[in-house]
Amino acid sequence: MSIKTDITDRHILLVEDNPDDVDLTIMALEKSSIMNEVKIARDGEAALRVLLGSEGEEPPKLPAVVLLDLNMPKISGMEVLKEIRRNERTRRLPVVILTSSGEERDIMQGYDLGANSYIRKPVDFDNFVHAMKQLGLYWLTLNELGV
Amino acid sequence: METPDQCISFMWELNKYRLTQLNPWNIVLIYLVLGFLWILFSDRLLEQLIDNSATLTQFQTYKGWFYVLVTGLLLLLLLLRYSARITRMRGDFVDRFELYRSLLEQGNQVVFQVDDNQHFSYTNAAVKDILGYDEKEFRTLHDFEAIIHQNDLENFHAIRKVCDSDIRDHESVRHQVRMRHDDGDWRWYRMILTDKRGFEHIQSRLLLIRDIHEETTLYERLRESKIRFEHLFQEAPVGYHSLDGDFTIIDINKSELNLLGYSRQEVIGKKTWADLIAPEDLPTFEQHKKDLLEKGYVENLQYSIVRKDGTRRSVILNGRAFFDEQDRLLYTLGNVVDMTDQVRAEEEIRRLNVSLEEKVKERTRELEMANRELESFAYSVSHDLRAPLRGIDGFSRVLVEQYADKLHQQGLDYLDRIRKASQRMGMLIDDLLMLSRITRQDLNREQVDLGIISTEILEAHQEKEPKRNVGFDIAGELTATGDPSLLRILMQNLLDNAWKYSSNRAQAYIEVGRADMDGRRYVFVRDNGVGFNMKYHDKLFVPFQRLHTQDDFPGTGIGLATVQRIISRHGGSIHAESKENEGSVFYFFLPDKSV
Repeated sequence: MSIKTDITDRHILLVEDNPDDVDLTIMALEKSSIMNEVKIARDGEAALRVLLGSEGEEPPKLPAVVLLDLNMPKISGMEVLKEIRRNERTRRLPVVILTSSGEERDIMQGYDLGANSYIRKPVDFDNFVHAMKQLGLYWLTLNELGV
Repeated sequence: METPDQCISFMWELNKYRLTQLNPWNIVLIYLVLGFLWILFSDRLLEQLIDNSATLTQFQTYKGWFYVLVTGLLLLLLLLRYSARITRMRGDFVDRFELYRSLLEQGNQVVFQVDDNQHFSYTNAAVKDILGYDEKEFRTLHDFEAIIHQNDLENFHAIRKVCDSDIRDHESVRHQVRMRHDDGDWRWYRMILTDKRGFEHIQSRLLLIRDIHEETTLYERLRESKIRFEHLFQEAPVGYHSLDGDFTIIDINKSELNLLGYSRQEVIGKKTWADLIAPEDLPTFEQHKKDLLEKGYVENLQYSIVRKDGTRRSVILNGRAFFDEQDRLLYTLGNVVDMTDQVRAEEEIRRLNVSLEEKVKERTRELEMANRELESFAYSVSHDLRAPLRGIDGFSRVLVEQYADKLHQQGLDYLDRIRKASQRMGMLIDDLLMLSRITRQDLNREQVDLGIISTEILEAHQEKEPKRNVGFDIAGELTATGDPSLLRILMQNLLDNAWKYSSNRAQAYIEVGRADMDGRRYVFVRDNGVGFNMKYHDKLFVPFQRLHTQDDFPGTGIGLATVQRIISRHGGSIHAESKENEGSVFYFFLPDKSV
């Protein structure tokens, strides 16, 4: 887990199995001058552990936003989303689906399961940087959390 | 002609004249009897009345005169009556003779009387009417030889042989021969040679010729017709039969015998129609029998019949009944058509239909499976193929930014090319996915106004590139029936092209309108852009086929393939017309209803 510090104390949870995408996302956030901490979960299972904690432990602090990839080994992004919405503690947590797929059924299902936003990662890195900047600004500064 | 009865009564009258009426013998007999009685009694009467001998002698003289006077008167009376009879009789004869002569002359047969030298001694006038020749042309029977049909010479010679023989009182000989009429036609005649016993044993030999052409040809035609009918009856591919009042077979043709597998002897008079019907059809048959007796006919009755060998055939029966004056069934006529093959064929069709349905279901399942596979393929392409591209592009960008000082200009250029290539591949993937989505997506047909869509699309372009000078002309009421989202993609692609390929025009011009061709209403999209060479027309709608270089006009080559697929999914058609550097027109047609 890579840890970054930020004065706002709000952090981001990036659920992504592809290390390239992890690095590109972090670089894009850095280029957009978003300095908030980014926690990484490499698969769905890890994501749920980070969010819900293990039994007998104190529940961890929730992120300001979850950036959720869909296509992951073990537990898929949709299942993670379903689990987040089912759990009392996380059901109001902002979840942004950040994925390669522009398939309509993914978009529909994502919203049906309670995603707050659906963003298709552009191939062009410049566009990606632009998208991440918008995203960070919105969810980290403008958006009020419902927790 | 006189009837035989009239002839007999005439003969009887003749006998009456001959036997019972006055004739010379009777007259003499009456005279003798009267004379004898006079001589016997008159002298004795005078002797008793007169004593004086002188007076007696005188009275005897008177008596002699008286006798002569009385007998003379009696004779006169008898002779007068006799001659009156003779005269009347002769008159009768003359009348009769005239009657027969006219009958003979005007009769419908030629009559030759043959004398002892075989010459014709009498010929009636009918010869001209019946044979057309003059009566003088025939002097003996031999004169006919020249006009007898050669196939009938044998018959003619049989008659001639009798005629030439000396034997009289021969039995009549009669034969049919064809003779050439004076008008040249061959006609049928009957020749009769007959010997007649006349009055007081006078023999006369007659040759009679009757025209029997009409009846013979009629008979011939009847016979031919019967042969034809018989042939038709027997050889027709349809079974025919006749049943009597008890429904027993009384006549049957070959086809039906073949159908039943019986011989004629086995069924005629021995089998009833009910004997041939399959047991399960017998109740129906009983009902049909009632119908037949009631209506007089039955039509299209279907039975299963049992052949002699036990196998079954499906038949259709039509029948008609004939009744006597008391409405009793006399006989029926029926025809039977073997429907077995047809019934089997129908069953086969039904069976094939079922298997066809199964096949369709199977194919549908396969298709659904293929569609699912395609979908999951597209899904994984969407996810997995784009991710590495982002890596390539992203890291190249990072290299350019963070390691620019460590790279030569050429290295930076290469990195730029890597990024361009990966971005292009990203576009290709997106377009391909779009194309496959169009194939997979369900169609929702609605009324769509293509004019409104076109305006929106072109305005969006204008907004993006405000510096370009492009004139629009979009017709009103451009409605079409189709899936709204697909039709939007369709117009988007066509108008994107129009926009793109007219980009080097100082004054670009795009028109969307309607055109009627071949009885169909087409929508067209026209531009005044670079156009294309019509010889590449076939490549226009093929995926990845481009007519311009990437440098001139960037693109993936999937846009028109997508257009084509949308059109064909709607059951429509599209074609283009263009001239290089003069612009292009794309015409498409969308049917109102699903094909």
